Amino acid sequence: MEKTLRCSHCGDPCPSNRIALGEHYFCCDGCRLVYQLLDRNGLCTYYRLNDHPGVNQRIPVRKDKFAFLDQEKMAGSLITFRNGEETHASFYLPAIHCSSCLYLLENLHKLNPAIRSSRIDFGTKTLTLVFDQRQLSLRETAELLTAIGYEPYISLRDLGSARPEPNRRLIYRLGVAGFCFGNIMLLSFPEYLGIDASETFLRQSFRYLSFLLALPVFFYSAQPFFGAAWSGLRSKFLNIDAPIALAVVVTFLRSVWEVSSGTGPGFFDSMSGIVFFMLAGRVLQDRTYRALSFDRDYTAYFPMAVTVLQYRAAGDPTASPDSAPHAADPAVRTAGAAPREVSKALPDLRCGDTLLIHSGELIPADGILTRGNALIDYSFVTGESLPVVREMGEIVYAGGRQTGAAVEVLVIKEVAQSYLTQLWNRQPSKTRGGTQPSFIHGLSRYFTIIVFAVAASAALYWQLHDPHKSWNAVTAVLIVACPCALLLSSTFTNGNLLRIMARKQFYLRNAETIEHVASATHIVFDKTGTLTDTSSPEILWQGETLSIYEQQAIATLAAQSTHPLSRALAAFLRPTTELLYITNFIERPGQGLDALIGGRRWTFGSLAFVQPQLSAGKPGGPDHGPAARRDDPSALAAHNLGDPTAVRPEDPAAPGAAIYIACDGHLLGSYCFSGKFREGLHGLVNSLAPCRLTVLSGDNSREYHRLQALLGEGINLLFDRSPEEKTQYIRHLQRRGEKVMMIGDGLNDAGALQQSDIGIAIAADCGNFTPSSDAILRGDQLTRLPAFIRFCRSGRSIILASFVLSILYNIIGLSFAVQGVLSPLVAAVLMPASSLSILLVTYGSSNLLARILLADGASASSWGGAGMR
Amino acid sequence: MTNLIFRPGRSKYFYTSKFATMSVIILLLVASLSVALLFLGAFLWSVRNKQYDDDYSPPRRILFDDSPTLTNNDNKELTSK
Repeated sequence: MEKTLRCSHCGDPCPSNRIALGEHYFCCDGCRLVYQLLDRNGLCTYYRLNDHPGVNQRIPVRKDKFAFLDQEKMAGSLITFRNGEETHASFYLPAIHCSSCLYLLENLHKLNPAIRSSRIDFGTKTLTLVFDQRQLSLRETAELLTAIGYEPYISLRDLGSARPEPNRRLIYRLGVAGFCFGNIMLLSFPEYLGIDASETFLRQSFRYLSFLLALPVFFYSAQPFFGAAWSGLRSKFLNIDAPIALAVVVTFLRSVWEVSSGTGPGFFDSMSGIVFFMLAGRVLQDRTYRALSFDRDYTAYFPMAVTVLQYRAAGDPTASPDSAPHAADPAVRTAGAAPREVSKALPDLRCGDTLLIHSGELIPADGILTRGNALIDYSFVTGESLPVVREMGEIVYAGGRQTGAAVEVLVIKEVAQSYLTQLWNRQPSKTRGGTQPSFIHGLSRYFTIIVFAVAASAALYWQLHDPHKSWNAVTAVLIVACPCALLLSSTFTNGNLLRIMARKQFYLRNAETIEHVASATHIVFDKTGTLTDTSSPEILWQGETLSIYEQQAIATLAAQSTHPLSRALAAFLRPTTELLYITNFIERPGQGLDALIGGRRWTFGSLAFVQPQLSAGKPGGPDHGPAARRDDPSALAAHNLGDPTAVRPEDPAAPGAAIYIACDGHLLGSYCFSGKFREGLHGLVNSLAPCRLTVLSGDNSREYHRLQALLGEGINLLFDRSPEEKTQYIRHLQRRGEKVMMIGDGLNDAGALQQSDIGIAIAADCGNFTPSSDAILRGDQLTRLPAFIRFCRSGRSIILASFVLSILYNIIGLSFAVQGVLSPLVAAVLMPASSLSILLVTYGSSNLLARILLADGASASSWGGAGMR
Repeated sequence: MTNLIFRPGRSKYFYTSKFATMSVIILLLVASLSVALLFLGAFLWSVRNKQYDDDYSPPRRILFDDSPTLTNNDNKELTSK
């Protein structure tokens, strides 16, 4: 017991040393099977490349899970190419994470010779396979991947249109601009170094060649700026692109005029240089994270197909939708043979279909439970942290995950009309952009006004003194003083901030989001899944002190049930105990169980289940009176949960929060389950000081006091909020003039995330499903939020600092320009100098700040209160 | 043409000819530009070919001892044999 035994496959601690294979020990049979398979095929390099590269296989995948891939329609959505000999298909494998994955998945042909080749795209975690469909079906391919621990994630979204290709147009433009810029510079050198004036032909040919090279820059590479300026002007908004576009046009026209009239070489090199640097900034800023999607809708959450039961003796495999209602007819059901299980694509589900929902599967449509007891985890949809029991005949809503045994559900609403889909479609569509323009647009406006004033006064001056020079001076002012420095400093700073934060697993949708994060005044948290870590509940024993024997008995009981709470309890108790012999075992699913252990009768389950078993008159536990316990269940529940006001006994979730244990009619106490709060949340209120905080939970209020104690005074705690109420609350805050940052994870937060000024979705793993949002933050990085906010705020200072620096260059340039003596050489020196210094300042200072603010050692609280501004 | 200039023994007149110098520079210009264009084309092709999409796999793939995957063509050859 000194050294914890780690699973050779996944690296998790092994509960015992029973599952072994030679020298290797495993945490579960699933991991052992994967190891065996790889070992047999000589693929154990997998384990040498990284320590414990495997993904835990404790939860077995249902055998027929991929049966739907046998159907042409659904398989077709994954197949990219097919001919008589081979099929090309691609799978999304969320488990891909390291070079071992790369090794194994690209060596699939060793596992099955029918696979001809396989290739990973690591960025999108997709595997592209070429296989011989005469020897291996798509379903078998998916099953093979599952068998080695890489289960493909196939969602309803895959049925729709193909994924959009990443937009590479900006990079093409950048490449063209870079090519032209470099060559024009070379061609300009003779001019700057003083070419002999007698070499007219050579000089002219250099100039015309420069002109030719400037054409693609002007007409192709600079298009994004013209487009943005035009759309800004059309909506009567002067954005930063307008003066830039004007400067580019003026530079180009003056250069063309100079070259054609033979009066000078023009400013082609400066123009293409500016365009090149600005495009580089844009490319850096618009970098997208291909593995992430900020715009997911419910289709990415739903599976592609579901098992439908058909109560008909015979029928074609692709049962027509209109025949489905018959299946629900009880007469047919009793008369017919055993139901056939058929996979059906989700959009083809019709009212009256009977669905077979296996354990761990999602309920795709609203329906009535017709067989089995459902225990549904709605945490993602409603925010309730604990699974809900549903009896036969009750309505179950789409989006919940069945955690108990398999159940049958009769569809009463099609997928497109289900509660969850409605919830999604009711979301307000975000109107972004025009409502809150970035501060750099405002800044550029002042800048533009000043530049125009300078140009006008220069024009006036020269009009009075030397009218020939006025045209020269005005164009020179516009050329040299375009706000491209501002654009450069903002794009490079934002791009770098995005990159640094992505390294710390805070992914922002775009550069605009940085400013929204920086300016938030009110931060709203969801509780379940955001402040709590749903993967492992916190289990607390309340009641009498248990002897070791009693603990063993409880562990034995817990191991008998498939209820998630029991399983969690069994896992919690298992490392310390051994199991006992158990007899007379009766389980009531979703409620509890009853058994004999060592001659004593143990009752184990929800309060409602244990309560009647308690024998009257027996003395109770030492900590509370027996009378109160028997007569008033709510008092008992309240007592055990530590908050009398919070618990309402009629709440279906509240009793589920604990497992009560009685022995021979004597209540020993209860194991309370509560969401485990993420570490490091302590004092979040203080560390986010200038912002007000609210917790907006869909869960009940039993954790009110705990939360308050944890987060600190002055936090606003609101419970039992429906998705609509959450959205309304955000709107209410916004009406009061607050800028709201919403942080949530579930579908119940989806509306609020959309409504808020900045919605941050919390993801346990970045490949997981997240509701559409502006930013995605990995759950364990939540405590860094104060540092992230401060970092975003500092971005503005960096932009301003580098802008001030560039103004110095502008002043030098303007002093030449207003005199009408701006030579192309001066412009050609000033332009790259200012661009490069901006690049260095923004890059250096943002990296320095990241080192100070986001250092791994710096905890959220240690920076608490030390606001930047 | 370049040889013509730098080869000794050529007539002095031709060597210093303005026309020849100019035309040679123009020719060099065209040559250098077309080489540069070639690289631009290569860059655009590599972007289009998704070579910048995945910056994780290729540097690791190359380090695996045994050949990780047979390419499509290899396979066709193997099967046709």
